[in-house]
Amino acid sequence: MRGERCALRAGEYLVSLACRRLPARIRQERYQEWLAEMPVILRDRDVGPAPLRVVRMLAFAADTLRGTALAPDAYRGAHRGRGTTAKDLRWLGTGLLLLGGLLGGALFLLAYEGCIIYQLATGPSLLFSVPLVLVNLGYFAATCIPRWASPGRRWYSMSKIVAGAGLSIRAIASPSGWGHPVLFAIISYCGYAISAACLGMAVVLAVRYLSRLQHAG
Amino acid sequence: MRMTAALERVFRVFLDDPAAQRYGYDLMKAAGLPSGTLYPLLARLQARGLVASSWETPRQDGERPRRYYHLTDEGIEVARLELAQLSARRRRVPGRRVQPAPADAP
Repeated sequence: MRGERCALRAGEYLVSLACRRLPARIRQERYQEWLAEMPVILRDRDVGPAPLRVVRMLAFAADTLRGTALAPDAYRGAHRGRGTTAKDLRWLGTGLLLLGGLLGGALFLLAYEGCIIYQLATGPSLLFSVPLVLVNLGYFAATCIPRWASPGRRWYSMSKIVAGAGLSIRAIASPSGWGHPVLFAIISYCGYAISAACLGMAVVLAVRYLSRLQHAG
Repeated sequence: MRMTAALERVFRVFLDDPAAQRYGYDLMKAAGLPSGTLYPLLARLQARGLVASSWETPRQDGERPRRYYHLTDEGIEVARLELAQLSARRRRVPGRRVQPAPADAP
């Protein structure tokens, strides 16, 4: 597989970082164990196409890092040593960065949804609605890939396309005076309502998944 | 050892075929757990003598040997007992939701 060596090297790096948190006497053993699993994941056809196998392998390696960071005591008495404070601070920084990223993503999504609502309420602009349609057409095309196919994603992208198309047609029709603007407004409102429902459902599922993950840990 | 959902899944996978030797990645797939959850759990079970591990003999094709895990006799007993107690507890609390059986996982 093309790029296999590169991916393995990245995985090896992550695993070596994970092993640094382990007591010296078991470090090498764990390193060998996890390293041996990575080529197996890369060749596991059950996972899907090659890029997904690479992602799975990297997720495996990255998660060993989480495991050794969050449960070092599990690996037979890993103890706190010199430099722990600095390491803890580094982890705190990474955690804060991740949290910041998540919050940033959530804010972006809110702003994006806010823009759509604003357009729906005040009157559409082609500069916004056409990219909205194009982006969601791309997203819809991506959901045709079997691995990413999910009814929720399809409904979400389709409803956004409908909302965007309704807005675009309304923007074109209003100045030229053809068609009934209310009809296009209703189409875009309906599209948006469906997409908002999908988004709400996704949030509920994400919260449930996180709480289950917490329970499993 | 506290019975968590992750531990329950791991026990179920092992008890599917108690004699089977299982690699970490196979266990991950069968139990549906990420590596960061599974390996600390296996390490804890090993420290308690419920799971034993051994290394595969080095292969001819240059691949690294893998480590495989299996339940010890004590582990089999404890796992059966814990799962039976868990089922009994769930039967006593009918309103509580039952987790899907991970033993069905491939």
